[in-house]
Amino acid sequence: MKETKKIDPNKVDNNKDKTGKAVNVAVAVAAGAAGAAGATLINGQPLEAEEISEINTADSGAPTDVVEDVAEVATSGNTEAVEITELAPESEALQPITDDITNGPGQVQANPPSGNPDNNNAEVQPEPAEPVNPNEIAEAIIAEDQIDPNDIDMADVIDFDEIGTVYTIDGDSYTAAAFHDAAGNDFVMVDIDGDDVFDIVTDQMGNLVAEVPGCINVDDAEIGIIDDPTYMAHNEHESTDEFGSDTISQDLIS
Amino acid sequence: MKRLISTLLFASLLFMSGYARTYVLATGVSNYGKDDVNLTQTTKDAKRFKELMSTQSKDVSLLTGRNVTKDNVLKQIRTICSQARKGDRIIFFYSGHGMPGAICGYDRPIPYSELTSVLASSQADEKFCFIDACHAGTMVDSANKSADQSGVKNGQITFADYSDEWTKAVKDNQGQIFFVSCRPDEYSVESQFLGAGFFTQALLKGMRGKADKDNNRNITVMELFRYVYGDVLKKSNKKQHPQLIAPKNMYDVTVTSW
Repeated sequence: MKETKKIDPNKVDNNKDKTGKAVNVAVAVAAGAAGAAGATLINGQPLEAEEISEINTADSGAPTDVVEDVAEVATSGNTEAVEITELAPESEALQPITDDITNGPGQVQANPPSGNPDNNNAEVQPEPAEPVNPNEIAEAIIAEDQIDPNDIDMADVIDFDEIGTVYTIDGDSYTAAAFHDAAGNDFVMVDIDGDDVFDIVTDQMGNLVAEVPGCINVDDAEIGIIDDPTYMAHNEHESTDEFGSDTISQDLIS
Repeated sequence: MKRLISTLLFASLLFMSGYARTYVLATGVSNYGKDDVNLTQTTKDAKRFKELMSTQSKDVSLLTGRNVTKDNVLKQIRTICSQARKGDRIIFFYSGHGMPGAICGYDRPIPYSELTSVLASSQADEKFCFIDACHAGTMVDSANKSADQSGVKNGQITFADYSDEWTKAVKDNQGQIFFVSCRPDEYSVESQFLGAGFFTQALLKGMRGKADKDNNRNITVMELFRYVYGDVLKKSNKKQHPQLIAPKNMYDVTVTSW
């Protein structure tokens, strides 16, 4: 389980005793949370969800290639630079890093790299191949991870530390989640309206910093805290599965 | 004595269930080699899915980046399909770019029609596909639209091109269950702040138990979809609608068990 960071008891108090220290969250909210602009929060990165842009397709109406050029990749054992220009069944596809295994019966034979000395006519009689078990070959293929070290695996912008409750001087309580950014700065997300969606971000003093970009639920914080993929019980107070109940039938296809 | 019998019965059930295998292939592409089309969370999505499914099965493999070529993906799936027997389960996960009628492999599109065709060749009882990609709903749209009604705009791909095989796969009830991240005319969103795609994030939370409304530690197809649907709609402000394509008699199939 991920090690959590202790929350300053003067700012976030998990104790349900409402005589605990008050925070300025409610004051900040009342003062102008509604009018506060969403300031840049995390190392200057914009706090906005990003859309995936649609890939441009050719005008021919036939499926087109996604990539035209591939950067040279340096791996531990292989270095290849392959350029893909046109879609053609016979075109030389990118070679997987470990694609040098002969497939079993009925499988697609991987294309050997050009210039492979095995393609040359052998002058010497090859030694009889050892019998292979197709099942073993298949199991080896299935078990193998093929990870591209040059693929983009962006680090998390924020890391959640703890979920708790904050209290105002008026005695109101709000669900909150403490988190830190990549630079180690500590912040708190607060659910103001009690719908299990965090609304604002404050600093550890309770001062409003920004509105939460997009929709971050309490269970998003929970899955962020519990790194190990263990069971997470359904929270009966969560109403996520009721959202969209008016349209779900349109998206059930059978 | 009663406890001994219960223990033996439980052990025998475990022993028997051990013969049924669940094969999982998780794939993700972030780096397509072009800055303007590269993604940031999709490979991470695939890795997280693999990590989760490793708690459910020992037969879990991962392909990322330039290894997610059309040939390689289909080769892996064909290999899995050839090994799977009756009673087994196959799960395929993809996160990356999508286009009408296909997911975008690193080098070439992988049409849904080919995907469903390969899966249909397997003896496995259940075949799950989780697709987090734009235009993923074209799987459904292609089944619903006739050739005359297929939208052809500006030389784009016609949905009718992909309709026949997919329609056949669904109507023949070949045990295929598809969770797709959006409708045909929608985009699937990834968020750097969230650290994941909306659909994959909801999927992972749901499969880990947040969808387990009856708290019996078995998350069914319908439980999972309801949770994913609500979560994605909420996050996307109702701009992204996941879809479930599955025979009704598979709605109660358990997806994950804890």
